[in-house]
Amino acid sequence: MKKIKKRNFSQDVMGVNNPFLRAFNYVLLILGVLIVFTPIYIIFIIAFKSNKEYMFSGNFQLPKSFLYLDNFVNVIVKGKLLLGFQNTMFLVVVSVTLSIILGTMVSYAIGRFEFRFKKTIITAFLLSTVIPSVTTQVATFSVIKGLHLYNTLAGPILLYIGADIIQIYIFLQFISKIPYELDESAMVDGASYFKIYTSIILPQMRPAIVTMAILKGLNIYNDMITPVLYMPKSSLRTVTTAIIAFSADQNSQWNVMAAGIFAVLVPTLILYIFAQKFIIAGLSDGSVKG
Amino acid sequence: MSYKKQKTMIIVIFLFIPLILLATFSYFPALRLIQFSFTDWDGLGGSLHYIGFKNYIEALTTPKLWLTFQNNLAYIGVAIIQTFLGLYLAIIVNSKIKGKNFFRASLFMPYILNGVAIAFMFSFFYDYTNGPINIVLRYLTHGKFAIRFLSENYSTNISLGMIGMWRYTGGAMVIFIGALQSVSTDFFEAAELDGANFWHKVRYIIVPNLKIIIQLNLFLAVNGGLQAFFEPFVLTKGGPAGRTDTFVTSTYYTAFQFSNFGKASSMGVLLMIIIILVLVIQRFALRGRED
Repeated sequence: MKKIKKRNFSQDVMGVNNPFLRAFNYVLLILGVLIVFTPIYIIFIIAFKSNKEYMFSGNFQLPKSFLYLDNFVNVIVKGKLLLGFQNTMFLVVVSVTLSIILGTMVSYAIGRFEFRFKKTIITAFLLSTVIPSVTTQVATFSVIKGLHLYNTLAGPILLYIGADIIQIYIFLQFISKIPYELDESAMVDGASYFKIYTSIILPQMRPAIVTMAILKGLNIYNDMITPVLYMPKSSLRTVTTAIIAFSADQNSQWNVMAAGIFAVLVPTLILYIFAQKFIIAGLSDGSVKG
Repeated sequence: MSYKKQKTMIIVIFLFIPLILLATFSYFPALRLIQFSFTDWDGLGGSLHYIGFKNYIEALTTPKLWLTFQNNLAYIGVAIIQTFLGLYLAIIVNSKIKGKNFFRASLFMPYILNGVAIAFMFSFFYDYTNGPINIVLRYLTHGKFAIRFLSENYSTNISLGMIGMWRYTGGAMVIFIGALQSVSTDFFEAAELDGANFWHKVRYIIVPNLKIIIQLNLFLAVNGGLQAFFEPFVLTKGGPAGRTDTFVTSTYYTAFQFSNFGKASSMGVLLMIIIILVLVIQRFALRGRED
């Protein structure tokens, strides 16, 4: 494939001169932004309304006070949301750490060495993406049960750290850009391959690791099917299953539900404000080159 | 230790666990799925009896299966529209426009939000009596017009599919922006000299250069539509009376509610075959046009 240098994002190439088209494009973009933000904004304001206030003021008026926190207390106490956050955080931290360790290990072994069956192993990883995991869930369920991992945190962790092809792909790309001279000069100093992996490869890969860790963490935080299927026990609720259980408990009291929805959205919204560049870069690199 | 020995150790140790995981949680379940599909297993540890193609025949001959596929079509349709909308947004965000970073960041934002929370948010927005959309519609039409988003009609599937559109259009846009940025500026400059307008550039530069990535995204859209699960599972439970069941929700209920793992497995295998067929057809179409 031809290597083409990436253009600066701010460079103009389309040269839209037609004023009507320009106006139409702006209207479309602004409309898009409104469609994105309005629902979240409304959820945010009604989360601070009491039942009575919600009944009389409706959806669009600002709440009397942003200090009315009963709905949030309700979600945390009745909805066991803190337990959900605790379990989800545990899953995220352990799974992301393990998956990054395994992913960099695979990429180092494949990216730096030639060996028999290397092609076969790469094909095995690639081919697994053809199997849609949603369809095999019925059988995966029997595997998890067979390993006695049903209703444990370990089951989902194993499912989360299993081969992540996009991650391996991005890591391989990154490793191929680390100059081999670095490895060679370390070998002159007598460093072992393991030492090279920990003291040269890993530090050099930091940007890719950060991006992949964020994307993986987001996937786990937002996942529904794994906790629903493999950890239905109420003490193992995650953020996602806690909000599902909470919604079943209460009859469309939307101001209370809004507090739950908003509480679930806040952590990723905050992450997005700080890590937006990494997330966008991770997504566009993974798919364009992939 | 010699480097040769070290190399062997690194390869074996570094690949061992990932390969075990790959075998256990990817390939083994796929094989088991095929095995289960020929049995009457109930998923509860009872014994397996091989019953030949009975599950497949049963799955393919019940009209229910075809109804669920019709429901999936709504998701596929919405996902295809969403792909082209994402492409158009990418093109204009990539053109001379003020605040492009703001637009990119804002439109992409839903992609990172918790899908279940968003589904509940939409079930509130879709509410017939108290939902904000209908309140606005009634206000504008003096109470004459409101929409039953979640009813017993087919359109409910479209309402559910639109939740995916809200979540993923920005994702498609970001992927297309990345692809657009690797198209050489020379093309655009040459086109500019030839007096090409916006549409000429879209048609003769962007579409041909992005052909592969557009096709990939369309494949992902069809694939996602075939595997639609999330929204009906959270909001309608496939109801009323299975009118919003998708292929995957009905597989799920067959296995986990009706303890018919054998039949559910055969449905899983069928879906796998369909997805691989779509992939092959898409590859074939891609190669055919390359000549």
